[in-house]
Amino acid sequence: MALSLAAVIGALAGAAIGAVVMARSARQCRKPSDRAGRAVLQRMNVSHAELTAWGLSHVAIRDDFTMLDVGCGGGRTIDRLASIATKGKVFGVDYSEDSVATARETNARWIEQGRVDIQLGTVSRLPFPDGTFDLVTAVETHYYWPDLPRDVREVFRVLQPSGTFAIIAEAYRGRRNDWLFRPTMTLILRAAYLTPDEHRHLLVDAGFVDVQIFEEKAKGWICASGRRA
Amino acid sequence: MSLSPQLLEILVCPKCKGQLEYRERESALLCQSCHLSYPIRDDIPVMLIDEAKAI
Repeated sequence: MALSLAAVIGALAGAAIGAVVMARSARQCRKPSDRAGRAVLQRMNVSHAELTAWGLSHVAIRDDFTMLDVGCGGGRTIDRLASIATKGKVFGVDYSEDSVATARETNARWIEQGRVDIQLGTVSRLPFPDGTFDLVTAVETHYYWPDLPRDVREVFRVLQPSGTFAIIAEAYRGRRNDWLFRPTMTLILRAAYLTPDEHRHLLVDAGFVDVQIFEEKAKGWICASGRRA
Repeated sequence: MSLSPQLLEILVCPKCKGQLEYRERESALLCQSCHLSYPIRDDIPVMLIDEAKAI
């Protein structure tokens, strides 16, 4: 009896520690800070590269585009956009100081050439005039936005007429292995964990047209895009 | 290093979306209509209303 109780307590303690570690690392994904955050950012840069490449393959990018990457994290998407649009300009915002610092290191050569600029900012109040960008990207970030429907309208505001918004993510309701993602997304992160159809409505309700949803079912990836009319 | 003219041209106040005034010596961007001063830390403009100082 005593042994089994100890085993139960041990298992509970193990689960509790596991949950705390998982919650901590999940929160680092939301807003990376301090040294642990820097390590998370490096890992995010590597693991998101394939997803980003897939997502951007669904978006037409002209070489002279002016673009914004919202929630730029470690800055790999900015680097990719700057490489694609050779005569273009890429801006990035993130509300974590560590993200901005890492993203600036990742894009140091572009910044020097005047092709990339990265600021501390929030999607809820973007520091850009109406109708500025040809393309706005949001890679692995939209589920953490403070007020998703309102924030999507803020993205709409900074887009030029016929400009494109692309949400690229690897967690959505109904994805492959949904049961693994759902508890962390909904209970720990309290993130917006949307179905493909809810993504469509999110964009349509904000005023976007030509809304398209792409799924890479084998990987569990989603890309939701829309155009400002 | 100072901020690029291109960046200064595009950045607006996140609150009112109005023009900002660059104060190089104070390392800040000023919005005269909101009476807010956005700090520039390590060459990074901090475009967050919560971090801005009232002027």
